[in-house]
Amino acid sequence: MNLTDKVTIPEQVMARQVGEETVILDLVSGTYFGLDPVGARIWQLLDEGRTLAEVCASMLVEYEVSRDEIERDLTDLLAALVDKGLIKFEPASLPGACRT
Amino acid sequence: MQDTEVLLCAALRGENPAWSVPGDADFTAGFLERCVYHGVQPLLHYLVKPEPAVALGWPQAVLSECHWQAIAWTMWELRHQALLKQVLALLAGMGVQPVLFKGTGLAYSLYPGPVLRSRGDTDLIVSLVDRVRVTEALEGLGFMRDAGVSGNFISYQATFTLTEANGSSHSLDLHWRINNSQLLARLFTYEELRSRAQALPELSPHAFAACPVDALLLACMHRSGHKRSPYYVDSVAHYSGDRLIWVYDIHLLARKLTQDEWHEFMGLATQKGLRAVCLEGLGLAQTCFTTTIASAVIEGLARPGHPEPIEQYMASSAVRRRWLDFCAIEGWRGKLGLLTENLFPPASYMHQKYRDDGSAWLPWLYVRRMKDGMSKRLQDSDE
Repeated sequence: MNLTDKVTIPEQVMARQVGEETVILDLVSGTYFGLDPVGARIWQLLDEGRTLAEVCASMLVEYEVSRDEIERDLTDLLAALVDKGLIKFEPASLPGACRT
Repeated sequence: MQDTEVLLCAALRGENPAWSVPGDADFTAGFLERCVYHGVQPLLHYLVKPEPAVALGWPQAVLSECHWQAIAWTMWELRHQALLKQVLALLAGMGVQPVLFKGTGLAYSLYPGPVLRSRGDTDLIVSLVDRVRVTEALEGLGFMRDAGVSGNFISYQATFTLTEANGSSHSLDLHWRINNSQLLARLFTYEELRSRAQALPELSPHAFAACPVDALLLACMHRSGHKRSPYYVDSVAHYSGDRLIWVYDIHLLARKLTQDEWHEFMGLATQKGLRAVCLEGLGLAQTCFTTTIASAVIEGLARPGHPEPIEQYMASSAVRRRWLDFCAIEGWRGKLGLLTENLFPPASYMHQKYRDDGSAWLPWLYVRRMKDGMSKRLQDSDE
């Protein structure tokens, strides 16, 4: 996984607000994944078709966190989502990662 | 009202009630069981916020179960919605405009989110002339018609189920008349419902639901009907009109009606002989959810008058309802048809229903049906 990659969300995977939580649901496998508000914002940006670098850049602007923290959180979240089959990576050739 | 229902109603009214019996595992288990029966888990999850609820003594087991059920229902809703869009688009392409009523119609027109109105299927009504075409279209999409009695008089609906690769199933109840009862079936026609139906753009550009006035009349009629006809929760038959999700429908519909719509409602309730049934439904909503209803409406519905056949029908035993249905059907040809279809359903239905019977000899299966039917009716008369 590289921050220059782009993420695709399979057609059968959807996000919905359930109470105070945003949940990612795979309608075919029945897999469920809960997101906190920061995770939900990352999902929203991914769903808009942003590259990982663009997601990083937006998060740096919107939240008071360091680039290291964002990159680490993003990497952890994406690894978990890939592991559950909720996203797929699409290699891209964009240079650099979290450039603001 | 039981303690569980008192607590449930307070929570559904959004009052943030304290948990009434702290540390009582039996009460907690009973509460969860009643939540399933009343079909209110997603709604409860939506209305009871976790943090204040914990502070008010709500057991984690209850909050957690409602949370998981809300997720499970969300999953079901998303799949069901995708299928409905497909079905409605196909039917629209054929020039067929079904009207959604009961659960799905209300879920998409009344609730903040469709998942909050839990339901097992989608009821839709089409014109009698479109029935065969719609049946073929649904079968073409992979829906299978459930085994059930069929004929020209005995049933005015058929259930179609689609089972997905992952084992989950989705059912559509296709109606060409509003109810299987001869007496109730004539209360609303498809054409009447369609003429007043409202678009449901949240579901599909091709989706239409019964208008709020018709929906309220139907909601009152529906809950009343289940006092005598079974409603199944986890394969257990319940005979009651007290399910809170039905009463909540009435509560939300009553809140939505404008003054003009209340006027229309009163006119239709009187014209269709549904005043007593509506008075009971609205009264229950007031009791459970403190629904605000103008006194003129209650007084108008309670006005003394001739006993309404529908109220008498709803309160009658199964034997008497059969008789009233028999009397309601017009002409001897119709009466004979109903009788024949009741006594001798199609062979395919008989073989499916009595598949556990060692004998596949049709005359014997008809004898068994009559024997079972008589014993059931006698039990019902004793109640």
